[in-house]
Formats: sequence, structure tokens, C-alpha cells
Amino acid sequence: MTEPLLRVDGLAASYGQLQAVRGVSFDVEAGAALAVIGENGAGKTTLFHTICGLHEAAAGEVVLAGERLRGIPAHALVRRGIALVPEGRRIFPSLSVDENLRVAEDQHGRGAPAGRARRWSRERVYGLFPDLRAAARRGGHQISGGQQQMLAIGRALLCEPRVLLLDEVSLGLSPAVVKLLYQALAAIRAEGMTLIFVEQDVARSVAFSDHLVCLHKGSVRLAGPSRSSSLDEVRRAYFG
Amino acid sequence: MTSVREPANRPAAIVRAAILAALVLGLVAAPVWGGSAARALLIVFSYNAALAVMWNLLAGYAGLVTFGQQVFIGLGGYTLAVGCERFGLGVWPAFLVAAVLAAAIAVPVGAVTFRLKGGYFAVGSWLVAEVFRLVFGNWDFVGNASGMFIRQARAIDPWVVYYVAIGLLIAMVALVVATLRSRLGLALMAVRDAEDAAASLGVHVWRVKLLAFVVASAGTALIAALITVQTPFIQPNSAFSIQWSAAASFMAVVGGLGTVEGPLLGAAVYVLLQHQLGSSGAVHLIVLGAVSVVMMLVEPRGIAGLLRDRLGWSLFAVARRPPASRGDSV
Amino acid sequence: MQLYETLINGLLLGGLYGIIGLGLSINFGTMRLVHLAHGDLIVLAAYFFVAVLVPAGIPPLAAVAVVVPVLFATGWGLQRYVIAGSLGRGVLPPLIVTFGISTVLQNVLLLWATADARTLHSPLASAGVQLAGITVATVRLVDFAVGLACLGVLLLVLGKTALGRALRATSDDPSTARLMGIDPRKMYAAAAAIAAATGGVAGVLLAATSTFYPATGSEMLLVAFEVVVVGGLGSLTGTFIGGVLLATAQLLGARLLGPSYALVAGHLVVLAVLVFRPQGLLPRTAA
Repeated sequence: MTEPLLRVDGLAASYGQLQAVRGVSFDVEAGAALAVIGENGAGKTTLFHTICGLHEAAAGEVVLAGERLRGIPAHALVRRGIALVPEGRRIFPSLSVDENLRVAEDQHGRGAPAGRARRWSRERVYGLFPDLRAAARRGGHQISGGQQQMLAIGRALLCEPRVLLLDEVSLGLSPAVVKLLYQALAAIRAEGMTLIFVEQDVARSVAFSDHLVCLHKGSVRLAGPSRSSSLDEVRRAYFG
Repeated sequence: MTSVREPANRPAAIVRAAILAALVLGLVAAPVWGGSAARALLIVFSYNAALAVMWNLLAGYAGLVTFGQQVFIGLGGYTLAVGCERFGLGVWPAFLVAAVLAAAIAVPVGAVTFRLKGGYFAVGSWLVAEVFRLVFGNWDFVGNASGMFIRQARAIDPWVVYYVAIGLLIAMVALVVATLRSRLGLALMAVRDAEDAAASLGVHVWRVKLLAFVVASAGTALIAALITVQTPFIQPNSAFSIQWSAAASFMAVVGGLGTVEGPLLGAAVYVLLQHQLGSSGAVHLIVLGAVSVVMMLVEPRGIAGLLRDRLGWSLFAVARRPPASRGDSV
Repeated sequence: MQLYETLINGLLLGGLYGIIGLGLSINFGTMRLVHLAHGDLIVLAAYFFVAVLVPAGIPPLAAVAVVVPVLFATGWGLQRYVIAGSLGRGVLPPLIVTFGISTVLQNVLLLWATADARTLHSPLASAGVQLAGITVATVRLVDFAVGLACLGVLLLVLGKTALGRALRATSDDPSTARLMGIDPRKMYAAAAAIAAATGGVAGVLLAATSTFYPATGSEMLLVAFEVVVVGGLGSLTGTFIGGVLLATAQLLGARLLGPSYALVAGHLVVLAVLVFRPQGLLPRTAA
């Protein structure tokens, strides 16, 4: 069995006295898609923030291709190859669509990080999301929710990640737009990108992923290949 | 996020009370053991400490970080001067008028400046003080830029000034302690810590802040009247100078913001430094400014906080600790 | 005619006020920091220029090229090693820290340079020029031109460079900026350095335009604050225009009420803006 690309081992994180993530462990192989599901407050976003270095881990380890990531500040972690598409998209309102992309490109343009070939460019992102090309000059806050989500994904891609984390990309969007997004994600995945995603729609999570992890009150209640888990099992784990 | 009352501790309470009583007794009995030098030093200490206590009431307890309280220094001093020189008031009645007038003017000043937040409030209140400085500096009635001289003040016995000084300080400290133990005190600190949360709990944020502001302003005016009586002249550029806020803020920060003994400790440091460094006001301010910067970065709870945390010492059992840094919980 | 002259002079003086305010605007825009020592950095630059460089025989234009980098480094150092530690902990710490720095700077200057008034003694100060039908002090024209040029450079840097994009992103959302690989602390240091550099230019202009002494630092801070308030926080251009508006208000006040009312007129306009239209007189636009 090959070494997993990303290993999360006993990760814990808290807010003051409140433990949001307790001893979470899972592996992700290169090119795989892992779905993280759970109800609101289960700790999914905190988990992502901790993996990305935005939140300090209280215990545990994150290992990417053999390299320990804990303690590395968020802005340096990106260069190691983990990019997050944050919950709520978090587009920079003072910047145009094109500038939002350029910010990411600026930081990762000079030579490929860690010897990896540069795969993404603004041109490619516009190719993936033609809607964005038309809106390139518009302010980041002037575009629709769906376009913002595309922009957020494009921005993350320009960070040249090996692992792409996506937090609730379908939130507040119409089914048509969500379908478009997942088609794009499928295309990204087909290129070999490793994905970890949080998705409210459990059925879609199960359908799109190879493995899933279900969190409840910060701990893992269910983990395993997506196909083999029955919807009943998932529902039980989801609600604790 | 807000603070906790320390549990009652009988022996400690008795020791505290004893120390406080000894200090007050010592101050009251000063003519017995001290000469004019000690008296002068204690007067300087008293009014500086009182200013720091008032600034601390605003910034440390009400969350109002102001660099504009010199408005009330000027108003207090000028009320005394004008009252005595132009209206023939006695010095002590003029004190009362100063307090009342300051309280009255504090209301519109507060109403205007409270709309500002944070750094804007700090500089905005400074701006208001500047307006006063410029107006008083161009007003014939109060002597324009040359200011006024208070003839009556020369006849006052310096020991009377002394007792007024320590009286004011003790009264203000007592007032602060009493307030902190009351519901108003709790409301004040809730406003300081989290204004929106306090408002949602039914605290009349604006009223609480204005009340603290009015009280602090009246207190500041009384202190100013005392200083003016001592000097005994007043000039707009020094009366309305930012240096008053600089000194008060540094004393409060170095001593320990949000504690009762903090301003007193800070004033002691300030006065001792001034004493040692002698004539050069500039050196004194450089040292004080540098120390307050370092304090704020390294030990934001000030000397009082250090004593409390390392040694468990505190003089006033009103231990409602303010959160000093982000990660602070109860 | 008199009114016309006042307005033109207000426009030109506004260039100096605008550049004084730009530094404060940059600090507040990126870090929500009201930098209480900004005025003193301006005066520090003025002293460095007049009391160190010029007497050393360095020609004024070359001296500017020295002042700006020195102030850049000073701003960077102060931010990185002193002010940074006070950010993110509420309103009080940055105010006390920058106020402390201000006090130290002013009093160090007082000790070193005494309270005597200084100015750059140059033929520029007394020369006049014909402009649009009236005579204007040459130095005022220079103030405006330099101020405008400075604004132009800043807009270029902010709008067209990678650093500028990163700065804007950081001031929008420091957390998400980190996700892009941007280190917010470095951005804050860069912003503070740029702000101090504009202060350096302002200091040189100040030295050329009027007399100054250590306490002028406080005056400069108030001018900067007022400019930012009047112009609003929307943009650097807005700040610059705020400078013009403030200068015009002051000169109008002097013209209508008497010379000693210049400052008060300005203060009252600013207080009115703070009370009735706190977002500033100009609409919010992006950089």
C-alpha cells in the first residue's frame, strides 16, 4: 500500500475551554477525494482551519508527503501544498475578480514551489470557469454567489496545491450552479488533484468521494469507503 | 470575559484594611512628621494620582480611552480664576462651581465625542480640547494667551492646600471603590469589555458611559482647581495641553489599568522620577513614555498586575480583573 | 478676487495637508491603526533634513533622496519591533504604544534640538510666482506638485503592483490573505514603512514651507487626523482631497473671521463632519 499523501493523526483543537476537534485521524491517498460530513458545529470548519494553520492545533499531527506541518504558520503552509477554499468564499472586496486571482498568482508565480511544475494560470482558471472571464474587471463583491465560489476555487488553484480543501462550496447556491461547480471539481480531480471537501448534501458527498469521514461533536464517528457505507449508517453517525 | 470577585479572605482583608488605615493616618498626620518638602511632594503626588485615578475610571473601567480630559483641567482652572478674579467668589466656593460647570459641559462634549470609537474617540476628544485652547487663548475676558493670576490664592495656608489635596485623592479612590462594588461598576466593566453584548443584556451603554464621563470630568476639574490654587496662575496653552493626558495615561498604564491601586502606583513612579530627574521635563517624559510602551507590550496589567499575579498582593478587595490580553479567560 | 485667491491657496496648501494625511490613512486602512506618532515622524524628517543633512553640505534635492529611505526604514522598524506587539488586543494598546513613541520622539528632539523654531532657509521660501491671475508663493506650488506626485506614486504602487494587491488583500481580510501565502505581519511592516516614507516627504515640505519645532509633531498629527476624517476612509485620493478641503476651510476661516481663527475654523468643520457625516465628505470608492 502506498504512503498516503496526507495523514492527519490525533488532531485536536479548541476555542478556550471548548474542544472543537478531538483526536481526529484519517489518511488521504494522492488523487483521492475525501468527504467530511457532519452537522453544524461538528467541528468540520475548525478541522480545516487547523490543517491549514489558521488555527493552532492543541495536539496531534498533520503530515503531507512525509513532512510534518504542525507549527508552520498558515502563509508558509500554502507553499507546502495545501490550499483552502474557505467557507463563505471570502473574496477580497477591494479587488477585482482578476486581481483576486492575481493575488494568489503573485505569491506562487516565482518558480514552482518545491520543485513542482506550475500547472495553473489565470488563463486556465478562466478556461475552467468562463463566467469569470466575462466578469474579470468587476469588483469582487459585485459578482454573484456562484461566481464568487468559482473565483474562490480558482484562487486556491493558483496556489498550486497538492491537496485542495473545500469548505461548503454549495452553500446558498442553486442546484444548477452547484452542478456546474462539481463538474469543474470533477475535471480538477481528473487531473490528479487530491480533494478533501465538506458538503452539506450527504448524498452528493457520498457520490463524489472515494472515502468519507463523519464528525460528531469533534470526533470521528464513521470512516470508510463511501460506497460501502449504507445511508442508514451514515445518518446514525451524523446525528450521533 | 468579564471579571470575577475574589472570594472573601478574612486575614487578608484585615491586613489590607490595616495597611490602608495606616497610610491614611500617615497622610493625615503629615504636619507632625513632615516639613514643607514632604508636603510639597505629597501635594504633587496627590493631584497626579487623582488625575490618574480619574483617567483610569474612564479608560480602565469604562473603556473610554480619551486624550481630551485637559478640557476639564482648563475649565476647572479657569472657573476658579474667573470666579475669584472676576466675580469675587471665595476660593472654596469656586471649587464647587468648577465641579458643577465641568459636569454640565461634560454632557454635550460626551454626547458629541461618544459617536466616535476607538482611536477616533481618542483623537476626537483631543480635537475638542484644541478648540477650547484656541478659544480661551483668544478671549479677552480670560486674559487671552497670557492667562490670569489668582490673587486670593497667595493667602492660603499651604497645609490647607495639602489637606484639600489628600482629601480629594482619598475621596476619589473611595468613590471608585464604592462604584466598582455596585451594580454600576459591573455595568461599567461590561461596557468596557464588550459593548454590544452589554447592550443586548439591557445595560444602557450610553448612559453608563456618560455618567462615568461626567463624574470623571467633574473630578478632573476639582483637581485642576487645586493645581491652579497652588500655582497660582493659569494660561491656556498649559491648561489645555495634551501633556495632562499624556501624564495621566502613562501613570495609569504603568501602574496598572483597570485596578484601583494601579494609578496610585503609577503616580508614585511618576513623581519619584520627576524628583530624581530634576529640572528636565523632557528626560522625565522620555523615560515615562518608554516605560509605558514597554509595559503595554510586556506586562499590560502594569505594576499592580505584576504584584497581584506574582505575589498575590492587592490593596483593595475589589478584585475584578480586567482581561489584559486576547487569550485571557476567567 | 480675495475669495478666489483664498481658494487657490487652499488648493495648493491642500497638497501639503494631503500628503501629511496620506501616511495616517495608509496605517488606518491596513491595520485599523490610528498612529499617534505619525506627526512626529514628519517632524523627525524635517529635523533630519534641516539640522543634519543641509548643514552637512548635502544639496536639498539630494537630501530628500536620503530622508525618504531613512524614514522608510524607521517606519518599518517601529512597526516590526514595537507596534506589531500591540495589535490585535483591542483599542488601548496601540494607542498607548504609539502615544508613547510620540512622547519619546518629541522630547528627544526637544533635548537634542532645543525648542527653537527651525526652517529651511532657502530662496524658495520667499519666491513668488504668477498663477491664474494671482501671485502664489513658489513653495506652495511645490507643495502641491510634490503632494500630487506622491499620491500618484502611491496609487500606482497600490493599484498595479503585486505588493499593492497583497496590501489591499491584507487590509480586506488578513486571515484569507494568509491562505494566499501572504504574511500579514510583513504587509503591516511594509504599510507602516510606506506611510513613514510619505511622512518623510511631508517633513521635507514642512521644512521648506514653514517653521517648526518639536511640538509641531502634535500639530501635524491633528492635521493628518482631520484630513482623514474629512476625506473619509474610502481611498487615498479621498484623503488628498480631504487635505484640500481642510486647508480651504482654514484659509476661509482666517479670511472671514481673522487670522487667529484659521485653526478653529478647521477644527469646527471637522467636528461637524464627525458628528453629522462620520464616513467623510466623499463617497467610498476602492483605492
